[in-house]
Amino acid sequence: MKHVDIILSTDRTMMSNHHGKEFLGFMATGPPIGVPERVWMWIAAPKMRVDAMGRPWQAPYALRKLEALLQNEGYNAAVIDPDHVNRYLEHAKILMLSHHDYFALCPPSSEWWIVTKKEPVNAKSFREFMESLNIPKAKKKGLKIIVGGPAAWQWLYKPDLLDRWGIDTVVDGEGEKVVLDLVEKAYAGEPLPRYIFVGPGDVPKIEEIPIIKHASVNGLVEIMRGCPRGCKFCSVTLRPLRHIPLDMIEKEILVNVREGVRSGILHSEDVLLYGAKGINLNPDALIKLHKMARKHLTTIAWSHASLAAIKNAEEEYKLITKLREIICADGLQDYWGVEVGIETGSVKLAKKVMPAKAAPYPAEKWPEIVEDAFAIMHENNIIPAATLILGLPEETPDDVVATAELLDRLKPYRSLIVPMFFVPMGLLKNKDWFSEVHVSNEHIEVMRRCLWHSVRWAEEIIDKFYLEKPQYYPLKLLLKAFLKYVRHKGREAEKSLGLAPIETEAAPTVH
Amino acid sequence: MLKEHFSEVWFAGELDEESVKKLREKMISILKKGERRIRFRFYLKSRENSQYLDAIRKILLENTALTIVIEDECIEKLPEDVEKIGGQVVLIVNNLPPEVLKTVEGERLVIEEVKAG
Repeated sequence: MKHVDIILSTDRTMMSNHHGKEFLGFMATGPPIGVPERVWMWIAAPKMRVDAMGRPWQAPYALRKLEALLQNEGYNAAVIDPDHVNRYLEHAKILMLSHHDYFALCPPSSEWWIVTKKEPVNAKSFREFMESLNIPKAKKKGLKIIVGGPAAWQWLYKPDLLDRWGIDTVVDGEGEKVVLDLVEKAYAGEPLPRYIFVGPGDVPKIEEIPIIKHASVNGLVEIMRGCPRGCKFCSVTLRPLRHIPLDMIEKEILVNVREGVRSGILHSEDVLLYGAKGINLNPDALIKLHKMARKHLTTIAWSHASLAAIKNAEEEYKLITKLREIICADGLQDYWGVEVGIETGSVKLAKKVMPAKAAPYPAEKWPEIVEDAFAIMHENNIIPAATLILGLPEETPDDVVATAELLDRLKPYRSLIVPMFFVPMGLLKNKDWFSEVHVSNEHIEVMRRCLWHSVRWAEEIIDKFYLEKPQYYPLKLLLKAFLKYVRHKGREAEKSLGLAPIETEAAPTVH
Repeated sequence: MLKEHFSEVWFAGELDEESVKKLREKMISILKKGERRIRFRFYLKSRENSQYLDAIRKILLENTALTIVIEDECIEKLPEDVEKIGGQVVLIVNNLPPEVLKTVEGERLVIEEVKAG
């Protein structure tokens, strides 16, 4: 194939499998710290293996979905590695781009930027990718450029770049039902709309969602879309809830396995709600899902889970223990990772912005739910990367103090905890967050608790769980050196702020 | 999806705060009617400039319920587009020169001026 009519691509920070370690991908949301940018990029986003055409071995799931949708309709479409896009651009009809964070405006990129005052590598890499493309020549031949993905909204803050890079259309939301219309229009030479927001009434039904045809990054496959919890800061919750049938999930896992990706990430906003009615867990569905995944994969991870569901699953059904027996069967793996949201330690804020996040427990119990869920995860070798949100609307210093107190109670539990400044992405997304970021003393207390908690546990995770195979030793050494550097800089920062060090308070070990 | 029924709202003239307020009111009234899609078309001096998105960003980000499509066209194309109208279109105008306003009359066109309140 000499030409590709529809190129699907993104920049290097997205088009990478992060050495097969999804957590390392988070480093792409920061600027280089303590090492040259090239080394930082190698750690966070190494280049992807490509075929002779420049098609990557693994690619972001959203691009794989679009590729499948377009190929099913007979279009000559392919995901192309960013280093090879220019080969096809001149004769292409459409360039489609997707990204999680085009301009580093989402957490945690925005925190890195605020704290270090340096542009994160994801935004820099995307900008350099766009500037490297021979767009003017291709536009003269009629190329249309369509951008989308979870960070599509960010283009509304960058209309100058829409013009500079000749972007025709921004698609915000699930694209399955609109992309083919746009492609038809582009092929017919008709002008494209500038912006499309796909409302909840126009999201695809299960049968309209295509099955990927090639491997996704680290074997990620979606098991659900949407979320029933209705947190006000989250965009996913605005979309209807759909459970992907088990046979569709299995087909996608087999696509990955066939192409040599034997690890898998089950993707959902709350993996434990798979097959659930509302927030009432469905243990049978979860056990079937994990047994099926175990049959095909050598390692399994979860994308996200809610802390209330973790507590509920274990306390009511001993389900976390049962799932651990499946996931860790035959010694294939001894831990797994997941992202969880603490968001706040304040009962008042929890009731206000995420009243259903604690369900089936009352929101008043939120701090206890968090602590219990962390204990359950610790005992079952689930390593959470937890987020919490600073600067939520109507947050008071007392709310932040409550969060700091909760962090003190989480010390014994193996985890990484990342503070994020509020970015309006759901019902709160019209708030002008960027002009209102005010870092208070209480915020600093929370941030340094997170820092020392995460550094202390990251050292143990790297020593005992992570990167155990010999080929990962150089990476392991670099990460250890990085953590030492962070310790050093953290101490310096505390000293300059006149703060007494808190890192020496040893965390009690729980077995 | 783009071929489905959309409530059509066009805008021509000066896109100031009052105009954005008017557009927002339109969105709310369409939502109240139980419609779920709205298509805004902005008639601009030049299609090369997307700065108008700055002005309407807040109402776009505020929306979570409607499917919204934003189109833009050169102002010169307005009379021609008015002639081709198939369904009902609301045209919101703000400080549009009278000579341009004169050229945009149509049976299915409802013109609403921002300053008229």
